[in-house]
Amino acid sequence: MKNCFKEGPITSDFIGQSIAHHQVKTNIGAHQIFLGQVRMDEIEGKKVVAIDYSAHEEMANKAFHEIRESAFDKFDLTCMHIYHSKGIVKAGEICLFVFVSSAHRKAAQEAIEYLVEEIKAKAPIFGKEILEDESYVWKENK
Amino acid sequence: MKIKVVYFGLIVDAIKIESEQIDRGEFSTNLNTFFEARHTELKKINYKIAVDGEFSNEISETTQEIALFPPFAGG
Repeated sequence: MKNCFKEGPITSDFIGQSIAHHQVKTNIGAHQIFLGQVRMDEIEGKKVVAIDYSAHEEMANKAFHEIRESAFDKFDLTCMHIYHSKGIVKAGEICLFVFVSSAHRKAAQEAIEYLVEEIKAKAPIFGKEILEDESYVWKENK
Repeated sequence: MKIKVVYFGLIVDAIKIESEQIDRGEFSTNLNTFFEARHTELKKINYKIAVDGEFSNEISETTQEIALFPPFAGG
Protein backbone atom coordinates (compact mmCIF):
# COMPACT_ATOMS: atom_id res chain seq x y z
CA MET A 1 0.00 0.00 0.00
CA LYS A 2 1.23 3.48 -0.86
CA ASN A 3 2.75 5.49 1.99
CA CYS A 4 1.03 8.89 2.01
CA PHE A 5 3.04 10.28 4.94
CA LYS A 6 5.88 12.76 4.63
CA GLU A 7 8.20 13.61 7.50
CA GLY A 8 7.70 17.26 8.50
CA PRO A 9 6.02 19.95 6.40
CA ILE A 10 5.02 19.52 2.75
CA THR A 11 7.15 22.03 0.88
CA SER A 12 6.10 24.37 -1.92
CA ASP A 13 8.90 22.76 -4.00
CA PHE A 14 7.28 19.35 -3.62
CA ILE A 15 3.86 20.77 -4.52
CA GLY A 16 5.34 22.58 -7.56
CA GLN A 17 7.08 19.39 -8.71
CA SER A 18 3.82 17.45 -8.39
CA ILE A 19 2.07 19.94 -10.64
CA ALA A 20 4.93 19.81 -13.16
CA HIS A 21 4.72 16.00 -13.33
CA HIS A 22 1.21 16.31 -14.74
CA GLN A 23 2.22 18.31 -17.81
CA VAL A 24 2.71 15.07 -19.74
CA LYS A 25 -0.85 13.94 -18.96
CA THR A 26 -2.49 15.96 -21.70
CA ASN A 27 -5.97 14.45 -21.23
CA ILE A 28 -6.25 16.53 -18.04
CA GLY A 29 -8.13 19.81 -18.30
CA ALA A 30 -8.53 20.74 -14.61
CA HIS A 31 -6.57 20.38 -11.40
CA GLN A 32 -7.93 21.05 -7.96
CA ILE A 33 -5.59 21.36 -4.97
CA PHE A 34 -6.32 21.54 -1.26
CA LEU A 35 -3.57 22.62 1.11
CA GLY A 36 -4.04 22.33 4.85
CA GLN A 37 -1.90 24.82 6.77
CA VAL A 38 -1.13 24.82 10.49
CA ARG A 39 -3.00 27.76 11.96
CA MET A 40 -1.57 29.82 14.80
CA ASP A 41 -4.64 29.46 17.02
CA GLU A 42 -4.63 30.96 20.46
CA ILE A 43 -5.52 28.56 23.28
CA GLU A 44 -6.05 30.07 26.71
CA GLY A 45 -3.92 33.06 25.73
CA LYS A 46 -1.07 30.97 24.31
CA LYS A 47 -0.21 30.77 20.62
CA VAL A 48 0.00 27.44 18.77
CA VAL A 49 3.53 27.36 17.31
CA ALA A 50 3.44 23.89 15.74
CA ILE A 51 1.51 20.63 15.50
CA ASP A 52 3.25 17.32 16.15
CA TYR A 53 1.39 14.74 14.02
CA SER A 54 1.31 11.05 14.84
CA ALA A 55 -0.76 8.27 13.31
CA HIS A 56 -1.48 4.60 13.10
CA GLU A 57 0.30 4.75 9.77
CA GLU A 58 -0.74 1.38 8.44
CA MET A 59 -4.43 2.07 9.11
CA ALA A 60 -4.20 5.66 7.92
CA ASN A 61 -2.60 4.54 4.65
CA LYS A 62 -5.36 1.95 4.30
CA ALA A 63 -7.96 4.68 4.94
CA PHE A 64 -6.32 6.91 2.31
CA HIS A 65 -6.37 4.00 -0.12
CA GLU A 66 -10.09 3.33 0.49
CA ILE A 67 -10.94 7.04 0.25
CA ARG A 68 -9.05 7.22 -3.07
CA GLU A 69 -10.89 4.17 -4.43
CA SER A 70 -14.27 5.57 -3.43
CA ALA A 71 -13.46 8.96 -5.00
CA PHE A 72 -12.48 7.25 -8.28
CA ASP A 73 -15.85 5.44 -8.17
CA LYS A 74 -17.86 8.59 -7.46
CA PHE A 75 -16.15 11.11 -9.74
CA ASP A 76 -14.70 11.02 -13.23
CA LEU A 77 -11.06 11.62 -12.25
CA THR A 78 -7.81 11.17 -14.12
CA CYS A 79 -5.54 11.05 -11.09
CA MET A 80 -5.38 11.77 -7.41
CA HIS A 81 -2.67 12.24 -4.79
CA ILE A 82 -2.87 12.57 -1.02
CA TYR A 83 0.06 13.53 1.23
CA HIS A 84 -0.08 14.13 4.97
CA SER A 85 2.68 15.23 7.31
CA LYS A 86 3.94 13.33 10.30
CA GLY A 87 6.10 14.82 13.01
CA ILE A 88 6.50 18.54 13.60
CA VAL A 89 4.85 21.09 11.29
CA LYS A 90 5.22 24.73 12.34
CA ALA A 91 2.44 27.33 12.15
CA GLY A 92 2.22 28.59 8.58
CA GLU A 93 3.57 25.36 7.07
CA ILE A 94 1.59 22.86 5.02
CA CYS A 95 0.47 19.58 6.62
CA LEU A 96 -2.00 18.22 4.02
CA PHE A 97 -1.76 18.23 0.23
CA VAL A 98 -4.64 16.78 -1.79
CA PHE A 99 -4.37 16.97 -5.57
CA VAL A 100 -7.02 15.76 -8.01
CA SER A 101 -7.13 16.05 -11.78
CA SER A 102 -9.88 15.48 -14.31
CA ALA A 103 -10.74 16.22 -17.93
CA HIS A 104 -13.29 18.88 -16.91
CA ARG A 105 -13.45 21.11 -13.83
CA LYS A 106 -16.67 19.89 -12.23
CA ALA A 107 -15.42 16.41 -11.27
CA ALA A 108 -12.22 17.78 -9.70
CA GLN A 109 -14.11 20.48 -7.79
CA GLU A 110 -16.60 18.03 -6.32
CA ALA A 111 -13.96 15.39 -5.57
CA ILE A 112 -11.65 17.69 -3.61
CA GLU A 113 -14.34 18.62 -1.10
CA TYR A 114 -15.34 14.97 -0.66
CA LEU A 115 -11.71 13.90 -0.20
CA VAL A 116 -10.80 16.47 2.43
CA GLU A 117 -13.91 15.70 4.51
CA GLU A 118 -13.27 11.95 4.28
CA ILE A 119 -9.61 12.32 5.26
CA LYS A 120 -10.49 14.39 8.32
CA ALA A 121 -13.19 11.93 9.41
CA LYS A 122 -11.58 8.56 8.64
CA ALA A 123 -7.78 8.67 8.90
CA PRO A 124 -6.43 7.81 12.38
CA ILE A 125 -4.12 10.80 12.64
CA PHE A 126 -3.53 12.71 15.87
CA GLY A 127 -2.21 16.22 16.39
CA LYS A 128 -0.48 17.61 19.43
CA GLU A 129 -0.75 21.41 19.32
CA ILE A 130 2.50 22.74 20.75
CA LEU A 131 2.04 26.09 22.50
CA GLU A 132 4.56 28.90 22.81
CA ASP A 133 5.44 27.96 26.41
CA GLU A 134 6.12 24.34 25.28
CA SER A 135 2.95 23.00 26.90
CA TYR A 136 0.50 21.26 24.54
CA VAL A 137 -3.11 20.34 23.89
CA TRP A 138 -4.52 17.58 21.68
CA LYS A 139 -6.28 18.80 18.56
CA GLU A 140 -9.69 17.39 17.63
CA ASN A 141 -11.36 17.70 14.22
CA LYS A 142 -14.70 19.47 14.36
CA MET B 1 -1.03 -16.26 23.04
CA LYS B 2 -0.88 -12.54 23.60
CA ILE B 3 -2.52 -9.73 21.67
CA LYS B 4 -0.68 -6.45 21.20
CA VAL B 5 -2.66 -3.39 22.26
CA VAL B 6 -1.52 0.04 21.08
CA TYR B 7 -2.76 3.40 22.34
CA PHE B 8 -2.58 6.78 20.65
CA GLY B 9 -2.57 10.50 21.37
CA LEU B 10 -4.33 11.72 24.48
CA ILE B 11 -5.11 8.14 25.54
CA VAL B 12 -1.37 7.61 26.11
CA ASP B 13 -1.30 10.73 28.30
CA ALA B 14 -4.33 9.54 30.26
CA ILE B 15 -3.31 5.94 30.93
CA LYS B 16 0.51 6.47 30.86
CA ILE B 17 1.34 3.59 28.53
CA GLU B 18 1.79 3.38 24.75
CA SER B 19 1.29 -0.35 24.30
CA GLU B 20 0.93 -3.59 26.17
CA GLN B 21 0.60 -7.33 25.55
CA ILE B 22 -2.53 -8.95 26.93
CA ASP B 23 -3.32 -12.68 27.07
CA ARG B 24 -6.08 -13.62 24.65
CA GLY B 25 -7.94 -15.37 27.49
CA GLU B 26 -8.19 -12.21 29.57
CA PHE B 27 -10.47 -10.37 27.14
CA SER B 28 -14.19 -10.21 27.79
CA THR B 29 -16.66 -10.31 24.91
CA ASN B 30 -17.20 -6.57 24.79
CA LEU B 31 -13.95 -4.70 24.26
CA ASN B 32 -15.30 -1.35 25.52
CA THR B 33 -16.28 -2.94 28.82
CA PHE B 34 -12.93 -4.72 29.06
CA PHE B 35 -10.78 -1.65 28.39
CA GLU B 36 -12.84 0.70 30.57
CA ALA B 37 -12.45 -1.72 33.48
CA ARG B 38 -8.70 -2.08 32.81
CA HIS B 39 -8.09 1.66 32.32
CA THR B 40 -10.87 3.60 34.07
CA GLU B 41 -9.58 6.88 32.58
CA LEU B 42 -11.08 5.70 29.26
CA LYS B 43 -14.61 6.28 30.59
CA LYS B 44 -13.99 10.01 30.20
CA ILE B 45 -12.56 9.78 26.67
CA ASN B 46 -14.37 9.59 23.34
CA TYR B 47 -12.38 6.71 21.83
CA LYS B 48 -12.64 4.16 19.02
CA ILE B 49 -11.36 0.59 18.90
CA ALA B 50 -9.79 -1.01 15.84
CA VAL B 51 -9.14 -4.75 15.70
CA ASP B 52 -6.52 -5.66 13.10
CA GLY B 53 -7.24 -2.48 11.18
CA GLU B 54 -11.04 -2.64 11.27
CA PHE B 55 -13.30 -0.79 13.69
CA SER B 56 -14.78 -3.44 15.93
CA ASN B 57 -15.89 -4.24 19.43
CA GLU B 58 -14.74 -7.85 19.68
CA ILE B 59 -11.73 -10.00 18.96
CA SER B 60 -11.58 -13.12 16.81
CA GLU B 61 -9.38 -16.22 17.00
CA THR B 62 -6.87 -14.63 14.65
CA THR B 63 -6.65 -11.15 16.21
CA GLN B 64 -3.09 -9.86 16.51
CA GLU B 65 -3.44 -6.16 17.24
CA ILE B 66 -5.97 -3.90 18.91
CA ALA B 67 -5.64 -0.11 18.61
CA LEU B 68 -7.42 2.51 20.71
CA PHE B 69 -7.83 5.91 19.06
CA PRO B 70 -8.84 9.27 20.52
CA PRO B 71 -10.66 11.75 18.21
CA PHE B 72 -8.91 12.20 14.86
CA ALA B 73 -7.10 15.42 13.99
CA GLY B 74 -5.73 14.93 10.48
CA GLY B 75 -5.74 17.63 7.84
